[in-house]
Amino acid sequence: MEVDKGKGEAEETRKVAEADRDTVTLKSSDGKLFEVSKEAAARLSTVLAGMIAGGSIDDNGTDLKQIGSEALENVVDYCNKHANSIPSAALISSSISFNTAPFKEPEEWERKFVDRLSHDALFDLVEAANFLGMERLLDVTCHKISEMMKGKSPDQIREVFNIKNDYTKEELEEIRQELAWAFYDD
Amino acid sequence: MEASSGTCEIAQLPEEILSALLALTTPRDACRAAAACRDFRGAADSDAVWSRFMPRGELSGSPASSGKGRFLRLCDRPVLLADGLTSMWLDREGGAKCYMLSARQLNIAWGDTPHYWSWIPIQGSRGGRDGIPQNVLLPRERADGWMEVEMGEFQNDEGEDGEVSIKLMETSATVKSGLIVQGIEIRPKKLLSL
Repeated sequence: MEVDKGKGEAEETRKVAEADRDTVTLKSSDGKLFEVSKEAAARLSTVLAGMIAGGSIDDNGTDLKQIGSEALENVVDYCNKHANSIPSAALISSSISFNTAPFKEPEEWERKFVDRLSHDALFDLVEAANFLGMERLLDVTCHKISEMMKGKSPDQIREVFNIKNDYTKEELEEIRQELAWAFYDD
Repeated sequence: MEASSGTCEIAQLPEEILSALLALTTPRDACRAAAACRDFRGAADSDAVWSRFMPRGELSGSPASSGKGRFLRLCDRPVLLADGLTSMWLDREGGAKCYMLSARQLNIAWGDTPHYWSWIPIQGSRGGRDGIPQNVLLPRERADGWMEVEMGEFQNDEGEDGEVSIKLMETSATVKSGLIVQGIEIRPKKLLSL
C-alpha cells in the first residue's frame, strides 16, 4: 500500500494519521465486514470522503444498509485495486456530473474488473457506485453495460438483459415509424 | 439489490443511471433501446442523453427546445456557420458533425473567369442537375436530386484541429463541360453494424 506518499506534509498530520487507522471498516446490509484503504475510499467516493471527514466512521464497521455483501465486496476490491494502480489525476474528480465531465475510457484493469462480473453483480455494483458517489466506478460500470447494448436490435437488447417487451404491437409500430432511420436494417 | 432471484433487472436501475449509460451509446442505439421496453424509453428520451450526443462547443443557441428534438432538428436542417459558406448538420446515427463546403469556398482554378466557369444561383428545390456529366466516376443520385461522387476518405487522428486538403483534378486534357459543383460534403463513414 502506498499510503505514506504524502510525506512532505507537516509532522502533525503524520501524528494524527498514526493515531488513526489507515483503513476503514464497512458493513454490508447483511452484516459482513470489509476493510478498505481509507485514502482510496476518500479519493474515490464522495460519500465515504464525507463520512471520513465528518468523523461518522465506525471502527466496528460503518453501516451501509443499502449495499449487499457481494456488491460491497466488489466496491472494496475496486478501491483497493485502484489504490495500488497508478492513480492518474484526470480520473479523480469530486462530484457526479453526467452531463459535463468528459467520459474517460476505462483502463485495462478496470475493463477486466467488470468483465468478470455476472449481469446481476454488475447492476448491483452500478447502484452501489451511485449510492456511494463513486463517479469513476459509475463510469466504468455504465461503460460496460453500454457496450453490451451497442449495435443491437430491440429484440437482442431484450434478450441480453432478460427484459420483457411491455409495449403493445401498435405502440411498437408507432415508435419504429417515428424513428425509422434507427431501425432500417432490423 | 441482493437476491433478485436470477433475473436481470436492468430496468430497475434509477432512470439517471439508465440515462448515464445510454449516453455512452449512440443516437441509434438509444432509439433502439427505447423500443425494447417502457422503462428504457423514458431514459432514452431524456435530455441528459441527447445533450451528450450534441457536439460540444458550437451551437449553444436555443436551449429552450428539448435535447432530443434539438438533436434531430440539427440532423434534418443544416445550419449555416458564421462564414456564411459552410453548413453543418449532425449524422443522425452517430451524432458526428457533417459539413458542406459550398462551391464559393473552394479554390477553383479559373473560377473567376466567366469563360471557364459561371456562378449560377441554385434554387431551394435544388433541381439543377441537367448537364452534370454522366458516365464519369460513377456518380450516385442523392435524396435531394444532386449527383455525388465519392472523392475519398480520411482518418482524423489529429484530434479537433487537424488540417485536411481535398482536391478534385482533371486527369486528361479532353475539354469537358457541363459540370455544376454545389460543394464538397464531409461526413462520417457509415460503420457497418454487427
